[in-house]
Amino acid sequence: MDTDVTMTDAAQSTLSPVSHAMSPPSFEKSAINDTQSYNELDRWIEMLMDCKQLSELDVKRLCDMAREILVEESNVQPVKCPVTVCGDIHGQFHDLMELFKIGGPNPDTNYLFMGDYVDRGYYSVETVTLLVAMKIRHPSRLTILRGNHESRQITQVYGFYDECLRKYGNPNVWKYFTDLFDYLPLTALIENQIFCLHGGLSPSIDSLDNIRALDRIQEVPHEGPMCDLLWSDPDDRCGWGISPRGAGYTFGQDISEAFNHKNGLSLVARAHQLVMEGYNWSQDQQVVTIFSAPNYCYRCGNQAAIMEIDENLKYTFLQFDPCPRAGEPSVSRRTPDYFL
Amino acid sequence: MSSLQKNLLKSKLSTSFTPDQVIPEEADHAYEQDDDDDEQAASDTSPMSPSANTAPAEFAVPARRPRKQNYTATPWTAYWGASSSPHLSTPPCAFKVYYTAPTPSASKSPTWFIFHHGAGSSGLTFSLLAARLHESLPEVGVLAYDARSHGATRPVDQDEGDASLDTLVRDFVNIVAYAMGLSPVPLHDNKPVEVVIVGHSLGGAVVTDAIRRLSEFWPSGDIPKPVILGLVVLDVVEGSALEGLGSMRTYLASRPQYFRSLEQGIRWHVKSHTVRNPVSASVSVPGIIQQGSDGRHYWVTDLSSTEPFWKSWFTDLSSKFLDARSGKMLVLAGTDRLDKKLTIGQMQGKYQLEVLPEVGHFIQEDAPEKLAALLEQFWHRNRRGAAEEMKALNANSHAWGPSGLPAPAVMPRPNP
Repeated sequence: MDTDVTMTDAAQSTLSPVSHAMSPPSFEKSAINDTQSYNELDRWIEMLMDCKQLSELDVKRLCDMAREILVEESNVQPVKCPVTVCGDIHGQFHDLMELFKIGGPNPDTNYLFMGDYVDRGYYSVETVTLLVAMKIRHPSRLTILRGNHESRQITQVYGFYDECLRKYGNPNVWKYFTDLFDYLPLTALIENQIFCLHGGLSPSIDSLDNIRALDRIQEVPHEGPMCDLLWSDPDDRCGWGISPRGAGYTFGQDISEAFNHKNGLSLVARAHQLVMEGYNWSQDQQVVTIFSAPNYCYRCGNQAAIMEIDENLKYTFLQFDPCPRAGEPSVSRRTPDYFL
Repeated sequence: MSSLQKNLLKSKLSTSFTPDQVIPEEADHAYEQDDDDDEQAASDTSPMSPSANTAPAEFAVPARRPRKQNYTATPWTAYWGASSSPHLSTPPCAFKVYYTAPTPSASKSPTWFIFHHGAGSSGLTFSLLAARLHESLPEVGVLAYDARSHGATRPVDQDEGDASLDTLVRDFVNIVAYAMGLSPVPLHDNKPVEVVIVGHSLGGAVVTDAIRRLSEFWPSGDIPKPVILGLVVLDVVEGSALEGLGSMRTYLASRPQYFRSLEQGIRWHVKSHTVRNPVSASVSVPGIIQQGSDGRHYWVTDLSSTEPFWKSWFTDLSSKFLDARSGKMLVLAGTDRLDKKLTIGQMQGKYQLEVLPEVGHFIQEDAPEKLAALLEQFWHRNRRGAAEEMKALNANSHAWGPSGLPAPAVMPRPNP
């Protein structure tokens, strides 16, 4: 086992504690209400934990059930502590298993994932199917937000579409999931204090109510507030800047300070950017970046991290390395025939 | 050719080329069409099936109905406003330049897009792209040229010099300076000329190096330096280029050595899927093959002779690209082939990555409209006007936040 778990920053917590008891698993919002369905879901989850894909028909049923739950969630989905906050996964299924080993199994541990489940890694299908199945099984114990890769356009280029074709022989599963992605909440709010989202802030948004007013059930647009929330990055320069990514904006410390102050927030937690240590504080601890795909793309050599937030809103970062893997395809990039 | 070489070649071709590829026979090395199966050559693809080339057969986009494809050459004048042959750089060459000058505008700074082609290609590879771009943005000028030892560029003396990156970069910087003289607005008008530089393949390595060596190679005299707004690299990545160098010789050996006519040359490029767009091949291929005294058409550029420089062209390209301080866009064909540095850089949001499905290496020829739209959007985001609008936005945004003032208006941006 070469897993290296480091606990750091426990002392950095500056948040005021809140008091509420940890509630037992509840199914109040569940789209399913009979034992047979739970048995089936548990069977699916068991299969998926072994990295075995579901049948096309079962994926369709899964997505139908998930849509009923997600449509009820807010653009700013409230989340209670304790909860463990995670960043990009990108189809690295075995590293997601490592994440659950380190953070504890769901539903014992509550999780909040900030998007980018698919593309680039080799197991986008199994990864996203598992997270959606877990969401249906324990809706109040798992929150899954939308990342910029949860989009029809992006997944056609970066791997999820091809993987669905390869694994199912047709694009139906890709269609079921990308239709479901339109329903994923854009942001989450932990105990009214920690604002979580995939990308970052938008010059079109200065309050959480602005976000609540968005019509999110659509493909991620190329511009505008919904696009910015999924694409923007914090930056060392003050103010808003043109994002080198070609979408979203960069925002400076002055922007995040003003946003946090206006909305009574203590922290913006976001993902979207690879950080070599798995997490990275910026902007005088107004913003933290969390990235949960170790050795991203099987070649970047980065650590991954998750952020545990306890019932007193104290947070601890757990870093981890890629899980030792066997039988995974080695990285080979097709080289062009002609490139001079 | 030994049977071992032949088998290696055939196994390579069988994995990377479509069945209608004509495998050149040894001894002759000419390409000659035998039968007409043109329905494959022009099979276009639907934008809704980005990966049809890797999809099972039943999901592949059906080929168009058979029709006779025309391989007649198209003159450069169909796409460019003018051409010139200035004597520039060291050792001096008469560079063949194709351009369409910016349409004069009283209110806007003149802008140029300046293109550098890849090894073995010519400035005409950008014909369709440049024409499309200028059509959408008349205030933008477009300029491409044939690099030394390429196309219609000829040495002033007999010595054409080497193919080192230094020489190619010096040439490019001199061409940028030359373009400043083609701008319709007087240069002393307090409006700096804005330039976006675009390089394909080897050209990507040239323009990326040029951005940091503009001052070093800028010609003496009083030509004011332009503002480099953006750097665009088309389908070259250091990691995969260096990995692929080994197979480059095999590829070159597999090409026909000559064609019996210009039309045959155009046809080969289309049928071998080297250039997938016959309309573009009809204007670009005449730039890269020329008729010899025996009536056959030979490659203008002897690529094998440049082999000593291949490695040095691409070494450190990823670092140089990431370090460039202008706006940056990398456009790749088909699949994401990023190396480690570019993967990290992309995932940290340091540049814009676009992957165009269903195009070959010559993106600018296979998808001129899509690429023109990307360049237009890239220019809109990176032009100086956008930076000024951003300043105005920031001046307002300091007022919101705790005070509860309404959010500022959304920045105007073009639709991608």
